[in-house]
Amino acid sequence: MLRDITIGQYYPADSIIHRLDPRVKLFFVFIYVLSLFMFGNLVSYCLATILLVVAIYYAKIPVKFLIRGFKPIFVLLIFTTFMKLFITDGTVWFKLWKFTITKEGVIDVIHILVRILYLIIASSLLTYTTTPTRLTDALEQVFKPLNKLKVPVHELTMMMSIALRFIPILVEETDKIMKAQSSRCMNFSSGNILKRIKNLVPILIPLFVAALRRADDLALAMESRCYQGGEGRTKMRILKYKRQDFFVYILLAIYFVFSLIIHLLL
Amino acid sequence: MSIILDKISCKYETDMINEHYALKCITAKIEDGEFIGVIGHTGSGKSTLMQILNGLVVPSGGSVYYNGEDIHEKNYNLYKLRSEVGMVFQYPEHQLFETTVFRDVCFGPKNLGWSKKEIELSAFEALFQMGIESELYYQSPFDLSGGQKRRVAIAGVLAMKPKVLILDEPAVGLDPMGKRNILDKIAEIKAERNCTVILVSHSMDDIADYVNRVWVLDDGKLIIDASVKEVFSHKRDLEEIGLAVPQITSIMHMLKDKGLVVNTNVTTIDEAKMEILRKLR
Amino acid sequence: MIKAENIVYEYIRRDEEGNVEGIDRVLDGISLDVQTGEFIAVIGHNGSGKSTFARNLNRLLTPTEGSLWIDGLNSDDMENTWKIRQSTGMVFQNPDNQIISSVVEEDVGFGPENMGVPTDDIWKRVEDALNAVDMIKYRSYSPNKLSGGQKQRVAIAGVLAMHPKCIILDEATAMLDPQGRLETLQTVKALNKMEKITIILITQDMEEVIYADKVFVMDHGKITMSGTPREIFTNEEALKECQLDLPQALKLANELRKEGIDITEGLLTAEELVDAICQLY
Repeated sequence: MLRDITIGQYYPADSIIHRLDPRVKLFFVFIYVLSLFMFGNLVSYCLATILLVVAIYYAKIPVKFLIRGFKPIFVLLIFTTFMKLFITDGTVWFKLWKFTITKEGVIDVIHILVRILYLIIASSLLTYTTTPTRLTDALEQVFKPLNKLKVPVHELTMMMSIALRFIPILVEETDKIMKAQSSRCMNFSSGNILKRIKNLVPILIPLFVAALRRADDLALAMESRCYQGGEGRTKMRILKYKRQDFFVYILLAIYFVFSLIIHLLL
Repeated sequence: MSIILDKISCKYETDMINEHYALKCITAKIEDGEFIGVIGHTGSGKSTLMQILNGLVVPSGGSVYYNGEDIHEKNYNLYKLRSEVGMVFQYPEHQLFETTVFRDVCFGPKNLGWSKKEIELSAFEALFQMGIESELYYQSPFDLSGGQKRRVAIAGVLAMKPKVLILDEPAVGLDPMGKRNILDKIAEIKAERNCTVILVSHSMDDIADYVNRVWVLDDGKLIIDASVKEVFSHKRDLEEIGLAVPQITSIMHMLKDKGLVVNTNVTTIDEAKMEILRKLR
Repeated sequence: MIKAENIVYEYIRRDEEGNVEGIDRVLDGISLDVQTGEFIAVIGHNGSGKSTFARNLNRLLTPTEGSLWIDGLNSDDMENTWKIRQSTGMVFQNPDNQIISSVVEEDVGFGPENMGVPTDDIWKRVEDALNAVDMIKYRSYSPNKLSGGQKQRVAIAGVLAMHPKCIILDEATAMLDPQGRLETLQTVKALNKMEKITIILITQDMEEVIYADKVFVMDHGKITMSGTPREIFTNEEALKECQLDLPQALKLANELRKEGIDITEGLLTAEELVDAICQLY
């Protein structure tokens, strides 16, 4: 069950999108999400859809894989849509038993669905096509100016890349602990809320202990390999823009300006 | 009383898209009181098979019968199965969580809804059999040494009074004495409780020293299911799939290759000694 | 390469309020001398202090008393920290917890990056190191997709890329299966032979000791025995006292000797035992 979570993972493939400079992809997702929330009209949604489909196509990510990533948030998504659908006031379209469905409600829901779905697809496309190290390199580069404001950019990005490395390991660990406790006849799904929360203890404590042990080991390993923070450190990969990167920037600019114009005209 | 595996197969996903079979059509029968060793290199499907016996993994094909009942029938009580087929995972000490050793060992029995007296009696017995000193009962399990933690964790499974005990590499990572200690304890418990034991191990020497019957797994298939002697007489077959015979057996083979006509069907030091003495005297 | 004179390491136990509860002497007067290019094994049971000793060699810890020189550098001097850590690389027990990056080659580059090596140079070092451990094929893999032995080889490459003079393996094989163990040991042996890198192999597995030039046996923070593997293995009783065990082949040799068979003393491997028996025949 836990293995189904694919968000934040890297999907190894050799595609144009994979080879893009991570900073480009980062900006792309940023501008793209911005545009989704700024311009809420049919034409801009169409444009956004085209852009997304093209990106998915070139990224060579199987659609099956992409969809599986949604599974965990699917329930949440349905829940919010339903809530929104039934509680929004406005022109009544039709009544279903005790619930009224309004025109505004339906429109709102469409907005939410499109935005959230596209946001998730776009950002998971980013992580699918960019290794965590490349991503953190990009973040470090982009936020470098904040160093002057005494923000520990390197440390933060290092933390992030370590978190990304250990997420799959800890997921597996959780799976193993859950199995071990179920083989000791633990019942996860009975009782009231309080009981269920209490039921988490036999899972959470071993998990915390394991995470701490790993953190301890990792700190030692990093120290023994001369890690001493960002200072005096060189980089294995220096980010350098290439032709295709500028091309994508231009494409992105055209998309944004075009959407903006349509938004202003409508 | 028996476990029957009927054409068990199990699908497994490696990288989200591709599927392959972790287990392929495994058929076997486990009788009461057997001591079975399971060998196979990493990724041969040992762990998956063990979890199927315990009802933790549902096979994609075939059925498992415990005492004649299909464990994947709708109304089958999996809790009862898990209490009777106890499973000790690799590095079981990683599942400890309670404030004291004793409470941790009580966790399993408590889940079974036994009376307080029964629970405590069973926990005491399990801790005693695993050789945990009574001064440690009320200490935090996290303060114990590695070997002690391991024994406490095994006691936690024993306390449920399992009729079948599955152990996935119970000695891995311990020092030589710790290893011997744990395996000896398991053999003692097997004799005292007269239960069935299934031992997964990478050490052919341990398999040779302790078990009666061996399963050899390779690429999800059960390729050999026979007595220790029989299994280790297939030296070449084992080497082909990346396994070895016990060191003692391979010494006998080397002697034979040098022209000394010895019986190579020997797995323990005592047997080897007798055989060599017979030859030399 | 390494010179230790009477080093003591004390670990101060504190209670929850931070008051001193007791002092554990983990290392108790260790003196030894390791020459450049030697292959050293340090054995001892769990809790004998061998890991603490290893951490002192890497300046992850510093001795409470006594003096320790590593590659001519005094470990007492804070200034030497990074030089010492660069010249003595360390490989730890759990393969998962020492790989920092999500891509193999980036992990190997982590050390050189920290040392401030110029970018082009890092790539060369990474390639050389991955070639030396025969892992170049896996350069763009995620560590999660590798076997235990492969992960340890990546960890060794990560150390190699820092161009160390000495590699310390702190029970680096304890969690591996036989295949992974063999891979790791062969890699280390080759590095010792070809690149003349000093190896300090900390282990509890007696079979691994065979490869060493010199063995130190530790017990209760002291070095109780030292010498070549042959010398160490002749004294079964003393090893037993340190809670250690002989390899199977040598146990058999001792058993035969007890029966009055005249087998030469100071054997090391199964092959030697076979030859000795054949000579008698």
